[in-house]
Parts: sequence; C-alpha cells; structure tokens
Amino acid sequence: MEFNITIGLEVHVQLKTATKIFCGCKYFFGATPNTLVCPVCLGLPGALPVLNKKAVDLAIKIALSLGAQIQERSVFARKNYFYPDLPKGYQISQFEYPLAIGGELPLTDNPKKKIRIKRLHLEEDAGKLLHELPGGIKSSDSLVDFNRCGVPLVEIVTEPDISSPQEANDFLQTLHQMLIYTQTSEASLEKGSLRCDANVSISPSHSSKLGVKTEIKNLNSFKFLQKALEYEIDRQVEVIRSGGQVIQETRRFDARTGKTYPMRTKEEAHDYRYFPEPDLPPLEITNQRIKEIAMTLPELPWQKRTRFVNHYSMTYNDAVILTSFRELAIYCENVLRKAGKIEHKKIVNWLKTEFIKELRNYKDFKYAPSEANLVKLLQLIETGRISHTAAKEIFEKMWGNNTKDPEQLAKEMKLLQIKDTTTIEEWVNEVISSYPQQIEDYRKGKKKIIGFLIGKVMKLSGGQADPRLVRELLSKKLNSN
Amino acid sequence: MGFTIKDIAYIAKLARLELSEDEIEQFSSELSKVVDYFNQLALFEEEEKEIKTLPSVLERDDNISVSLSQEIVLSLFPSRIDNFLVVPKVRKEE
Ligand SMILES: [Zn+2]
Repeated sequence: MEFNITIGLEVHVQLKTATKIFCGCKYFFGATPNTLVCPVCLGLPGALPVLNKKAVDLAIKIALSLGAQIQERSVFARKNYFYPDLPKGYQISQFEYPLAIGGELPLTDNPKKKIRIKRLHLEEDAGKLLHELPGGIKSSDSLVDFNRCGVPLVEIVTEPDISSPQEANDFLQTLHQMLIYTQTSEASLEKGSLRCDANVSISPSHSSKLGVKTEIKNLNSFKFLQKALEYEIDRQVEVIRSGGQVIQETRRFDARTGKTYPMRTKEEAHDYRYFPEPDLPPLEITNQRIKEIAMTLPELPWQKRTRFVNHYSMTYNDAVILTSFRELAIYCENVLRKAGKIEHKKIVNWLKTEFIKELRNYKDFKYAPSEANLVKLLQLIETGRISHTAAKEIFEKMWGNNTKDPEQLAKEMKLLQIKDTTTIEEWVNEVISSYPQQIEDYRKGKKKIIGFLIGKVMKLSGGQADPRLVRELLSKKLNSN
Repeated sequence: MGFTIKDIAYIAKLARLELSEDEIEQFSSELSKVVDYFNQLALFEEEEKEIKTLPSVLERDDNISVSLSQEIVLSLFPSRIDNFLVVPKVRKEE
C-alpha cells in the first residue's frame, strides 16, 4: 500500500525587539533566571499590558515577506490554560482576527512548489520550565524561569501543503533564511528564537480522505524536524498496515532515541476558552504604515536567486549557494558588477569554491578581502599575469587583511608571470644551447620533446615565465633555423 | 440561557475550582443570570459600527525599562531553588 503524506507546520518566531511585547523588560537568552521580569510579565494584579510598536512592525514585515494579507483590524485574545510557565493563567494571543492571513513561501530545492500560509498572528511567549535541577540532577519538582514570559512572538501556521520530511526541512530552512535577511528575528533554533511544531498524517494514495494527524511538539533543529517526521510517518504506516488506527494526539520527539512518544495531555487541554483581551483595544493598521514597512523590505532570498539566474546567467544551484545569506549575496553581486569583461561563469566559480572555502576557514565576513581587491585578482588571472594556481595562493594571503593589494602580493610572492619577450628569449636561447641533442631530435620530428624544453625554460625563470609565451617563442626559434 | 450541572462541573474543572454539589447547583442558576445579561447587551448590535471606530490600541516605543529587583522577585516565590521558582512536577516521564 502506498501512502500520501500530509504535513503542516506551526512555527514560532521570537521577534528582534529590545523589549517584551507588553512591557519594557528586556530579554536575552541565557540571562540569570527570573531577573528580566516586572509586574506586567509576571501577571501581578493590576498590571496592564502596553503593546510594543516595534513588535507589530516586525510582524508586519514578516507577513509582507510571505505575501500575506495584513488585516486592517486584528484583535488580541486571551488563551486560557493553567500551566506553571504562564503566570497570568492566560496567554495574550490572537485568535479569531489574526494580524495577517494567506501568503506563501517558495521552497528552495523546488522553487516551483510554494507552501501556502494559513495565518500569522502576534502573541506573547511563555516562561521556561526545567524538569531537572541545574547540572542535570533529577528532581521531583519542576523549576520555573519567567524571563521568557512576554517575549514577542509571531506564530506562522502553514496549510497542510508539505508532502515529505525533506520539504518540511526545506520550508523551515527557507523561512529561517528569510527571517535573517529581513533582520526580524535571531531565528536561532538552538536558543529557541525559532521553534517548530509539526502536524502529520498519512492516507492510502487511492483515498481522498485525509488520515488522522498527530502533532509533534518542539522540534528544535532542522535535523530533528526531518528525523521526527520520518520516524512518525514510518510509525503511522506500521499502525495502519497492522490493521490499527492512528490516534489523534500530541507527541514529542526524543533526539536520543530518534523516536516520538505520546505526551500526556488532559482531554480538555484544548479548550482554551478564548475571549477578546479586555485590556487591549483592537489593533488597527493603516495602509500608510504597511507601505512604509514595505519600503524597508530587502530583496528576499528567493527573489535574489531568480534575479541572479537571469542577470548573471548562473545555474539555480549556484544562485542558491551565493544567496545563502545576505552579506554573501551582496558581496558576490558587487564582485560580478565590478568585474567588467570577465566572464560571469569564471567569477561564479571562484566565488562558490575559493571564496566559500576561505569564508569557512575564517568563519566571519570581516576577514574577507574587499570586493575591489578580489576583482583585481580575477583580472590578474584574466590577463594572464598570474596563473590560476598562483591566484589561489595569493587569495589565501588576502584574507584577514582586506587592504592587501593582489598585485603587490603577487610581486612579493614572486608569482607574477613574466611576459617580457626579451627576458624569455634569453632563457630560450640558453636552453637551446644547453641541449643540442634534444634540439636535433626535435628537428628530426620528435616534436613531443618541446614539453621537456618548455620545462627547462620555466625552471630557469623560477616558474614565473608565462608558459604560453615560452611555448610560442620556443617553437618559433626551433622552426626558424 | 440555562447551564446544566454538567456544564458547571466542566467549567469548574477548567478553572481548577473544587465545587461541592450544592455549589454547582447554586452556580448553574447564578451563571445563567450573568450570561443572560449579555443577551441584553446584544440588543446594542445596531451600534456596532460606532464601536468599530474606537481608537486603535496604543503602542509604545521599544524602550527598555527597569525590571524588578531580584530580591523582590525571589520574595514572591513560596519555594525556590537558586533563582528558580519550584512547582510540583508537571511532566510525567513515560
Ligand atoms: Zn516585564
């Protein structure tokens, strides 16, 4: 039996604000527990929430990047549930009237496939619960850190358009890239500023009915998302093949075992009794505000890729590599623009191999040579003044000091090719007089011996003579007499 | 609108309230009265348009203000370990 896979994701994104969504507490990952809190985010009686404008602006920016429809009017709502990480007993979220609806995100591996976005809304994060003592000691209690309470979040819910674990991974990677490009979030899975839940169901290919879905919570790495889904799909297939039925439930993924396990949730846990937040009037967003934010949007990664393919005639895969983050894309484009007549293909090759190799070594863009200096280096290769191999050596030396001039370096490293015909002719003459036997053989028809003679001239030049010129001058001499 | 005994018991459970049978009885009529009041408010539906023109929520600038001192925060916790609030275990290991 073949199965269709249906996956939908719910992604939580912490917004890159200085303060929380409803109070002026700052937040950063790793702070001393319970030091970044105030009466508002602790839910002390009488404290009132005041909405952070920056959080709204960033949420709009994300929504616009996804092509979602910003709603003229959205409403905050209380989502009621009891859990120790939620001191108010409710989370301020948006329910019936979210900030934005619709939109889509194209996948990177298969850009023709676009995952539709169902909705995007603003809410506050909850605190953090620890189930063991610091240092990993087992504890019969749970520990609460309220620092994260009230950190602004955007929740992005996709339509169930994703049809494989790889596609889910692709979606999250592409979304992550967009968040970094737009500087709307740190988007760090490790630090919890990007978190993902996945809904997955399977159904026999011949059936048009959707299967029963399970929800896997808190997938905190790209790899875990894919692994958890792979495991969960196999598990569901196994259940159905053995004649059983998948139960709708929430599961968690254990990275150590690579398996998902049911989470114990009470049956009425999903009755959140939403109602409009009485402390916050509806949020109205003017067209003017949307326009202003739209103007701050950078070119998005998938737009850059399309343009790179069209403008610089590179392959889609190369465009994916060169746009992997914004700084790199801008750098590459500057080099391509400044490089004049040099063929794009040669530049792209250099960028995606040599440049990326060094960037991986240095791990920070600040060590990269300036765009102008890289262009100079490429021009030295183009005009034959240095060999490709020499260029690689020089390029290595250009890192860590971006003012180093490649031509100067080539001179210092004695890698500039000598193209002066008088000088080369002197070496040619010297070789001809030192190897009379070989010259005779050549003239008798053993043409291959020229390779040996070129080698001798190159050696005399200390490897610096332009090999093309050497061959040219040598054959001219050998054939003239 | 009438609330059944079952409704009240369910709501009480969600709200983590322990009610006696007498109290459940009592609230089923009292809560019905409260909710009925909203039916009266629904008569104002005609004026909804005006309500929609209320000013939008006020937004503040993203400026940091001082959080509570550690001393105050920790004094609010009935039980603590280091800087953490201690609560009964909430997740069962399977
Ligand atoms: Zn606060």
